[in-house]
Amino acid sequence: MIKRHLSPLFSACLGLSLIASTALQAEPLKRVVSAGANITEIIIALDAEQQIVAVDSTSQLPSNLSLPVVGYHRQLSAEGLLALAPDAVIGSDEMGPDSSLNQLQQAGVQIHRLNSQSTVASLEQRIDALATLLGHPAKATELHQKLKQQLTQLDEYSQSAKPMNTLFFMSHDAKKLLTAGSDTTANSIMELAGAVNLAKPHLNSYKPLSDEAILSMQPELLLFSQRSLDKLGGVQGVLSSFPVLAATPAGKTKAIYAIDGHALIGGLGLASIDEAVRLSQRLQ
Amino acid sequence: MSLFSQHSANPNALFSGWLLPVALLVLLATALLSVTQGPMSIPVSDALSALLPFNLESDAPAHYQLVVTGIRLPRTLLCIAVGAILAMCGAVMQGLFRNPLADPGIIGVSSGSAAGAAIAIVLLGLVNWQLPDFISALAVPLFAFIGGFVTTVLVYRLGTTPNGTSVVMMLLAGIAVGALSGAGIGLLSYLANDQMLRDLSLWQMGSLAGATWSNIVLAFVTLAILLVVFMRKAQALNALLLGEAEAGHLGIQVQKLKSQLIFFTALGVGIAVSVSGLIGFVGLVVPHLIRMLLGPNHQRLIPYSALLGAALLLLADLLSRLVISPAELPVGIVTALVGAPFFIFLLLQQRQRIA
Repeated sequence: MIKRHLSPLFSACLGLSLIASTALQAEPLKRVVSAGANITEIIIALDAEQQIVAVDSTSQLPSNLSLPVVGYHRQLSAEGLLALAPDAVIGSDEMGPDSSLNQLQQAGVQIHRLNSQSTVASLEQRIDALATLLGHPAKATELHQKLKQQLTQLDEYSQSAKPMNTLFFMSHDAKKLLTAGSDTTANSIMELAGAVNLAKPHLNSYKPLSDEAILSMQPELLLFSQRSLDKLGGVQGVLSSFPVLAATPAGKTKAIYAIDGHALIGGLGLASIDEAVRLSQRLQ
Repeated sequence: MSLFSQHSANPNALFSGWLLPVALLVLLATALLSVTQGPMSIPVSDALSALLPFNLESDAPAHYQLVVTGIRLPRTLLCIAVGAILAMCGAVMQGLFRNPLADPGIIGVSSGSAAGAAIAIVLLGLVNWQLPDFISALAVPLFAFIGGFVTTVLVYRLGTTPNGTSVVMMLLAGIAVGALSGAGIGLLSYLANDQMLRDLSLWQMGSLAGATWSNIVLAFVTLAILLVVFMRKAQALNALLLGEAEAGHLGIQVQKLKSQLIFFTALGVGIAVSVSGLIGFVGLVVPHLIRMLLGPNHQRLIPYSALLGAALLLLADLLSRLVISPAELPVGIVTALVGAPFFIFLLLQQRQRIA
């Protein structure tokens, strides 16, 4: 249906892009726009950052790397991206809008959508896909080995330790707490580390939980994002800002830990696994 | 209403002299600017030749053609239609309410549309029906339009008594309905996941990036209908400036005029919002500018507002594309950033005139 509306010139462009995508396994991509925190993280871990020309606003770059930012990955601007002359745009299935992506494709830019699920299997798939596209198979094997080792470690820990009843909070001020429910990276981290997310059956994404609900759940461990914890003034600050937390078993034993915020953005990534390992070590 | 300054405009001079050519020239210039400028630097000559129906012998890269006719041109056209519709509806609404602050926001069209869009984004997302692509693409604009329209009718009904339509009652009803829509959006955002929240907030900031040919045709058909209707009612609107009773004495069916114009402004704003999200201040600022330049005669106010509205939105959109390139700013932010200070400036000037 699209083809009917295309001038011969556009069809020629489209044809070119098809040829380009069949030749893709042979030739690694050289100019890639990475539209997703998770994808950028893996590309950097693959030592392929020289092949990125721009990233989206959710991506975290190491301090020695500075690249143009193409905005939020659901609101990409076709012309803005084209001006960077990329070979490909790689993002998640949330990337958009479709109109921009179609226009990019017509101009001969490859579009690669990688899955964005919060499972270890999907993370491994993303590593493989990116290693193929960018041509870094050896480094990918290395990453897989590290990942495998971390997962074995997590497995051992969670078998030896008793599962701990946990809640994860984010807080932007000393008045309101948002609790991580199901479908959050925080939830995946807790589960990987062998902790039980008490809010999982009741909430999805980040929502406020009532004080009474928090009390009745009797959490033995409270997790905060590092930034929230810093903002509230550490463990003491949390306990004095939120008396209800002080009244929980975790509050009484001051079992309050921080999770690095970078590990929470953009789905389950390599940093999330690192955080899960760190958390499980503290649970021993 | 002191903002309606008492220039005596000569209706015979409507389209004569230098005014119309100058206004058209401004519009043409901004439209050309919008087509030739963007994040990708394309030489002006190449951009212009890409617009020609035949291919000039040139060695310009093939993707120039795509960028100019596939990306910039649809945007430019949608900008023209939406800018003209919003500014015209603003002019008519200000005349109708005899209130210089009247704006689609005030009678609840914008908040109603936002609530409609929120329903489409969140509820349709939650029930997760596997709808065909073309329907799910239409859901947000359609719901936005319905939301805007329903709230307008509701506000109008609340404001109408057997004795006529009370402007004060309508404004109050607009505030109430706006609050209700706000609560609805709040409730829906609570149910939404992060992704829906992002979609919703982006939609509320307005953007012309989603320009499709069907949107453009819809917007231009609406523009043409509104232009005809509003121009035919321009004299009656002029009479209304004297007051409702006075207009009635002049033989104008005030009640009928009001309901017709409210219907058509709601239609116009609803469709503009449905194709581009919420773009504020165009409908508020442009008619003021024209009134300052040309006086309060609606026969001039309406068409020149349309021309200037189109030109201003083109400039705002160009800014939104260039400022943070390669990313893009929602155009509603640009119009608010430029429009709100301008509005304050107008108020200050007005205050001095009163003092």
